[in-house]
Amino acid sequence: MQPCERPIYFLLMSLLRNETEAEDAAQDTVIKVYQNLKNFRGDSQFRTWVLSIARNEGLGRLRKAASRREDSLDAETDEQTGDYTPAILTSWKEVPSTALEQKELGALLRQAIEGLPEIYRNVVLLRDIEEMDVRETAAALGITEGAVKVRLHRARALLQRDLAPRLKGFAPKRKGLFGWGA
Amino acid sequence: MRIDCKHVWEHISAYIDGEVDAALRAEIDRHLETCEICSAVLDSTRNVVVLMADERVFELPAGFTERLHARLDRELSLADSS
Repeated sequence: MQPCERPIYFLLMSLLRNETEAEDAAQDTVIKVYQNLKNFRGDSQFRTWVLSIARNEGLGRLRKAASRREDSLDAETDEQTGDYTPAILTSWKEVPSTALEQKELGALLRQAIEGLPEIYRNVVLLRDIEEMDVRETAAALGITEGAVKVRLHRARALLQRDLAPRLKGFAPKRKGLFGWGA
Repeated sequence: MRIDCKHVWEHISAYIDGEVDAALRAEIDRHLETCEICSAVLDSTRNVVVLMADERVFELPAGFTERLHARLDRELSLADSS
């Protein structure tokens, strides 16, 4: 069960956008998993099954709280955003993962993901943060594999546009290599 | 087939995931050899993907696992006793 704790919590955080509520929903999810273990038929991966329970828990809470009408949960469609123009850079210097030791960089990344529309946030969270494959992500979210790919592409595009100009400040300042070290 | 920058941007995510076919990949590679802007867009997108996957970006709240297991133990013992 432990390997599922992170994806359960972060999927619920993505849906509910509140730490306390997400943790409470995660606990309820795990209890439901235990109560329904006999119903797990093994025709999907265990994690996929667990995450579909988490997703139902999150959506149920949203409906109950009436914070969003049920139909609005599906209102954001893949057609809503059209073409995008990425942040245009003429050079890019890699930001090393050691830069994550600086708390500001982690905060910047989290803020960018939290700013994504929900349908993109859910996908990027399972695909890029929890590193689940396309099939498993589609099954957990109840969408097609094609929709996962489209949404992931748009999510990454939005993140690139938002983050690329700001991440430059975290790149190592070696002069000359890429032309903007001065 | 010659592709332009917009085509490259449309396929950047699939390119990073290795999900474009060989012919398209070759076209994109050829484009990248001469297009500084698309190369920077690709590198920056890939960098964002790599950083996102780092566990330090998203961490479970402190004590999450302990609270979860305490709640689970309570619920399971209640179920056993009923």
